[in-house]
Amino acid sequence: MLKLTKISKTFQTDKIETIALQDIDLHIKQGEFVSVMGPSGCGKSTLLNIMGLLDEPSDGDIKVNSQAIESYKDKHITHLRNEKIGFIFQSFHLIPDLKVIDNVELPLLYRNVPAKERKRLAIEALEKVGLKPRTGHYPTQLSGGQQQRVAIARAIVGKPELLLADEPTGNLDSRMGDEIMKLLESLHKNDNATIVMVTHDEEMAKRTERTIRVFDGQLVH
Amino acid sequence: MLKNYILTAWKVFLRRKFFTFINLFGISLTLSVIMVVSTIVENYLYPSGPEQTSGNYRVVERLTLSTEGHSNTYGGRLGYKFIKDNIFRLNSPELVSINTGSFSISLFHKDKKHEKQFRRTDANYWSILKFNFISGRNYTQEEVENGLFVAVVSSDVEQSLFENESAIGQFITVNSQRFQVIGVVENVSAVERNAAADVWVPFTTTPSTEYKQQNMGSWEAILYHSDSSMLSEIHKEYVNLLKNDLILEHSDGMTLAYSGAFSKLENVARGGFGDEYSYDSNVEVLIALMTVSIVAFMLLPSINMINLNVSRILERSSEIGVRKAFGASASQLVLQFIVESILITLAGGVFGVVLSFFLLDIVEQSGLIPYAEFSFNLRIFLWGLLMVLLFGLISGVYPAMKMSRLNPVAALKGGA
Ligand SMILES: Nc1ncnc2c1ncn2[C@@H]1O[C@H](COP(=O)(O)OP(=O)(O)OP(=O)(O)O)[C@@H](O)[C@H]1O
Ligand SMILES: [Mg+2]
Repeated sequence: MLKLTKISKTFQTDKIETIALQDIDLHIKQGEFVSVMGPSGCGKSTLLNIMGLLDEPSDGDIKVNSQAIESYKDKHITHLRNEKIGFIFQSFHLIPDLKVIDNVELPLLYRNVPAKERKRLAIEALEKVGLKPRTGHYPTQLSGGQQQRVAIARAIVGKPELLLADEPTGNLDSRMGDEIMKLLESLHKNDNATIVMVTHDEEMAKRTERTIRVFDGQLVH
Repeated sequence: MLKNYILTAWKVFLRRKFFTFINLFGISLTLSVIMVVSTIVENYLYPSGPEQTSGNYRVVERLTLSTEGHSNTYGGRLGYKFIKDNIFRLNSPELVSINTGSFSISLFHKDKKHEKQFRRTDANYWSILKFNFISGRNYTQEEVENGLFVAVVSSDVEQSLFENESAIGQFITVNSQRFQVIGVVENVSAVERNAAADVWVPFTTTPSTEYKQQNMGSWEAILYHSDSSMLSEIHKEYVNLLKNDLILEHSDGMTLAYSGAFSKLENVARGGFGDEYSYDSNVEVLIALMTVSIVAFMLLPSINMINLNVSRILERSSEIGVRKAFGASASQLVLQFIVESILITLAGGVFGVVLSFFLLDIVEQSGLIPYAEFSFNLRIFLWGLLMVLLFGLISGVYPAMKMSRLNPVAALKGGA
């Protein structure tokens, strides 16, 4: 469902040019659970951001459902992100001013779903992550694990085709990390979600169907 | 969608009480100061009391007499002689009225002393200015010519001297002259400085006739025309007369006179910035100065608000990143932040209006400007609102535009 061909990414700062990714060919199939591993700074996050259409590659092509991304113009790309992709971040990135339920509703807001329907879907998603009783709380009133579960609810509420998780357990202790992992596994199994997850943890990676290894911006086989 | 922006804005305000407070405080204070100042200026320039006819007259308040070469100069208000010799010869005004200006006197009644404002006038004064008579009448041309000792008093005088009785027919004593009260008018705000006083009497009751020989004094002349477009003609004719046809006797060798028939604003400008050897008011300087100070006054809080908004939005860069990641377009984000700033400026505006009511009330009560009653009009309110909205837009749009263009990855990392 997602196909990267000869993707490269270089970052240009004042004097130095950093090659973050080089000639990446990658195919993620529908319903796959893939982990991405590699040392710090090798380009994992950059890869994930490019897969999520958050960042524009310097070179190469991306196809989503065999449809090529031609333009990274705001209008074109925001729509795709909204419909097809759900993000889960290492540091949760919940909006602190909004209640849990409003945080979860966010992707639906940009789809012009009516308020009632938004609420119903958000509660459904929160039920899936086991946080239904916390809808009225603010993010800061929750533990790290709970916050990440809210973030997952937000990522799945719009039923995107692809879930992208950048070290979703990186900020959590092993017990809470395990809970999150179980949640992702169940989403994969029960809802047939396609998931790409960056992790530093071999054990977590072993629980996925396939592990991609990145080294110095290149895939290693 | 808009409803949701408003709801979100509301939630943000509640969550960020300190920011909200500072913002509201800044906006409402700015607006209320602007509104108070412009209300006072407006009431000054467009009086609602006796001077409501100010659109149809010009006032000669100042005069400079000088020798050839300006080695010797008198500047100040006019004397009766100068008015009689020169201003009375003007053809363009339909009506000319003269008065002594107002000055403080002690009013004695039943052995009690009252400090009041006193003014001697002619009869035309009552035709040009629209005083509101509570009882009685003004003095007539005939009474002025005969130098009758009659007086019009303010309702304040009636109340403080005669308590519950009517003042009509009663006597008041000023500088050992006894006047019979024939009329009572509503108090006049001191802002209307050509009209304001507590006691008005015919100028012909002046004890000494010395004033008839003086070119300089404390007098002023009001030149009226029912067609307001004729007022500039009056000024032109007056200037022309000063230049070519001046009559100046008993003047210590002064041969030059500089003066002008000006509107209220022009008279202020002439007093403050005018060149004493000129026939112009330099009103442009005053207007420019006023504009500059209003802009400067608006600019400071604007810059502050922009700063505040930038840091607030920077603080929320992660939110912007998240919203973008989940499908918000740049224009949706701009709209969201603009809705926030407009809402907060509107709320600040409402507070500002309420605050300016209080401030104006305090100014009225303080007696700083005697008998001032500031009518608060819709025009000022709408102007104020417009300014505040502009202010909200300026302070909201710039940071919103800046932030909405952020690359989502950079925004998520929390930096610009
Ligand atoms: N915005 C940027 N500007 C310049 N260089 C960047 C930028 N973002 C990433 N890089 C560089 O690109 C390379 C890859 O970064 P990336 O964040 O993808 O690594 P990572 O594998 O996710 O590392 P970690 O495991 O520590 O998260 C690094 O060398 C990094 O310094
Ligand atoms: Mg990373």
